[in-house]
Amino acid sequence: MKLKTQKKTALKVTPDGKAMRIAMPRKQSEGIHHFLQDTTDQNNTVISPNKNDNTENGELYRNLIELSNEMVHVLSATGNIVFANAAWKKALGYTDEDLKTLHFTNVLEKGTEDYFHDNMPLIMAGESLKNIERVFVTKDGRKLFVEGNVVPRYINGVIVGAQSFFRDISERKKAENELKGRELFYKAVIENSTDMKTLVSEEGVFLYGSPSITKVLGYTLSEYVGQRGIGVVHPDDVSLLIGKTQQLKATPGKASKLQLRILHKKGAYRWCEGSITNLLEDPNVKAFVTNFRDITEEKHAEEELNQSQAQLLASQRIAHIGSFELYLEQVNEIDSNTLMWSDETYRIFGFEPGEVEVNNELFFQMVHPDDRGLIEAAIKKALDAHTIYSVEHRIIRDDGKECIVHERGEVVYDITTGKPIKILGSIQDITERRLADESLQKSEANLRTIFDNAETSYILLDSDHRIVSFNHQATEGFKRLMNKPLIEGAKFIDYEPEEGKERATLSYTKVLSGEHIHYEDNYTGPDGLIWYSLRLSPVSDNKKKIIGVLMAISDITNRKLSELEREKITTDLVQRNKDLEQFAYIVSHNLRAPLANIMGFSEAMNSLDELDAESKKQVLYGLSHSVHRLDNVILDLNQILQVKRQISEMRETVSFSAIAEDIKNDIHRLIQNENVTIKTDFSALDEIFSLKTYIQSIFYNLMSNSIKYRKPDEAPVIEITSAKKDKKIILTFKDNGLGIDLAKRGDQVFMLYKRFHTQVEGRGMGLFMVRTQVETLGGKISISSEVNKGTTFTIEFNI
Amino acid sequence: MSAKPIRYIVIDDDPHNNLSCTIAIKSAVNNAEIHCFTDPEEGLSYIEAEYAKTNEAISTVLFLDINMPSMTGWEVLERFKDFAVPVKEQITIYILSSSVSPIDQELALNNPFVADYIIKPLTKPKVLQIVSKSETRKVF
Repeated sequence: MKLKTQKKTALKVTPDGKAMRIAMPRKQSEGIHHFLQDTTDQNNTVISPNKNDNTENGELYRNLIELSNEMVHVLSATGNIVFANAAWKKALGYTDEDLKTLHFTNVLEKGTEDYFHDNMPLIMAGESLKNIERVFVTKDGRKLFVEGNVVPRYINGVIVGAQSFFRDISERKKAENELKGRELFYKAVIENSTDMKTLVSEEGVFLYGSPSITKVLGYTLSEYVGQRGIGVVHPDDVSLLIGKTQQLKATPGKASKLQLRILHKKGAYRWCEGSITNLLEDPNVKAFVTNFRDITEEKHAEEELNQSQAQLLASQRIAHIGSFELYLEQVNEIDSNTLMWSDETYRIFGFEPGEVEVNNELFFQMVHPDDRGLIEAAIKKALDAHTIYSVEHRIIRDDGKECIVHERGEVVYDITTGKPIKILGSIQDITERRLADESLQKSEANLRTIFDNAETSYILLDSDHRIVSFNHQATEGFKRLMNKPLIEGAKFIDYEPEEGKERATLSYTKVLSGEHIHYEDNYTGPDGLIWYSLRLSPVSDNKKKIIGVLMAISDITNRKLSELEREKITTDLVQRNKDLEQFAYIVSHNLRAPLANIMGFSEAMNSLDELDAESKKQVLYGLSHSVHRLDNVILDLNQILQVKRQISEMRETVSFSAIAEDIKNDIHRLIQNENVTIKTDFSALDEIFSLKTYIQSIFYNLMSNSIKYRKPDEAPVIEITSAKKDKKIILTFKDNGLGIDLAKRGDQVFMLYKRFHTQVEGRGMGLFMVRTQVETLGGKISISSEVNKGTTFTIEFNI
Repeated sequence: MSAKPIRYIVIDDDPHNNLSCTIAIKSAVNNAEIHCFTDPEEGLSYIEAEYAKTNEAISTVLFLDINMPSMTGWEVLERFKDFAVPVKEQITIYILSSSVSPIDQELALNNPFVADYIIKPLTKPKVLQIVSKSETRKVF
């Protein structure tokens, strides 16, 4: 005897479409039931339950049968049910009372009653029926699939009826029917499928193909059988196919999966996925078996999906924008409400998507403590005012990194009740942007500081010459000097003085075409003369396009004044040098001339005896005269040196008319003798703040000069006038005298000991003294003259 | 042929110098013919008139001042340059100046018509030296 464990079974459909039965262990709770069944002997001796058998053995069997899960019944020879165990009655729904009148054919499915009539005689003849399947009908008409054995029932060696043992196989049957249905389905699927099956020879030539090939790729059987498979494969996939085929050739029986592009008859490639199996060594096949299906649409859809998903992910990642939903089940207890985050929101908070369970409490924990109130206030305000809220705040991630986020939320309200349902929001990581902004602001601030603290005034104009910006220095400068504040947006040309507008406009145009302009000029403002340097430079944007003009204005008054001072010093030094040269010349000529005479006369004294009386007299006179002349030269030198030292003398208001009168009085005898006419006109300006002694000396020298160099046959006329021109005092001394040939000796007029007339006595001191004095007072003297017509001296003094 | 100068001309605006020159020349050369001019223009006119008419050469020494108000010595030399060759050949010019400036000396010596530069005063030894130089000098 074998002990058999009955197991529950289940059907499972494998991925390749085959149904298979697998054993399932019974559930523990049901317990494990063993049932003894002798299957070793076909003609087995079955347990014979017999009510009349009161033996201990009979009792045991009866109990076993009664408790069995198998459906057991006993038939009389005529087919009446004389016994049925508990399982039988339970399965079929009949009671013991029912059994009294129940015939076996009542239990059989309608139309299968012949089973009883056909087989009962066999049983009665001693035969057994094995593994028969029947359909029983329950009392309430349900079908019950059963399987079992039937053996004759012996009583005292005589067959009196039949004993049957059936199991309820309804479940199994149902599954089997289902399976059958599925098989049909699969069959239909396979027959109607678009799966393309081919047989390909070892050399790669099509031997056979399924009809689906024509459906999918357009080729008829005759068109491709005999052709090489490679011929329809996309060139880029040929090497893959060859590689796979080579591998497969080395491994008979194995299959290989791959995706290929295969040419449709109409010319487009279709993506196909499938497998090739090497059955070359299978005597029944002797070919590669291929099975492909068209996946072009899937492929496209997949690609599109991948692409759009990738784009979405990328854009979210790039923008660092995440979204969230905060449900408002409890308006007053926000922390207890449901919060949902998008993947990017997790990332912004430093988590992998789904890494943590999110709630509002977690969110607020991560917000920078100083910013929590800000968010709460923003949400509250949005809820109260039914508006969108937008707030920037910091979060501190678990990794310690502090991020700045921009959070924007919108409250969604219930249409009917108007109650807030949830907040839909976006959250964006703006840390980098903010840091960049901050650094930009910082650098801008730094530049502005430099800009404002510059000594130079900077004014930025746009291409329309309008003021865009200016620094502090410019503001102050324009306020102080022009009494006109700089205004952004104003046309700068309005600040230019009327006479400078044309030049300014021209300058802007030049600069806007790329030129750099620099010039220096002066301007008389309320503080006096101001020298300034003006630089105009083009301003370009980062595309090198000129968008404006940068004006840089510097006050260079100090520099300019010191430059002018330097120039004056240089001029003075040059003059001093000339004076020194002249001094050397004076020493060598004028000092030495009388000295040479003295030496000559002294020599003559040696031979005084040889001279006549007249000559002696002349020598003595000459000696005396030369000594006197020598003294004069020395006195002159002393005077010259003194003039140059008198600069420190006090200045005072000097009246030209008064001085002219004084001199006229001093030389009235000369005027009278020579019949001199002196005309003066100081109506334009009669006073100068200057050194009186110098002005006197200048007037005296020029007036006496005019008389000295008068024409012998004409009464001298001297005209002295004053005028004011360009902040300068002009004095003119005009005479009708001999005049000087300036073309010939003009450069020597004002030089010491230069004389032009032999008929008049002169030392060549007067004009030299005049020039020295005029220049010492900061003025200029010039001469215009014509021989025999007269001379005009013009003197200019700065007021 | 050597020629002893027989005529002496002095052009200088300073009459005292002219007197001193006259005395010096007279003491050095007996019977010297001396002509003094304080106006250079007059001196030039004299030369122009006197030396053009003569057929016989008169060996002459001209003492010329530089620093004169109406016309400088250099201007006199410019005018002299334009005289006829026979006139010029009779006259040997010496610059007579009070200036000790080397610039003046150099300027004078660079002039082709200037024989030498003499620093004032003109004295007997200086005249004698000039005379002796003239005697050894070849005058056509």
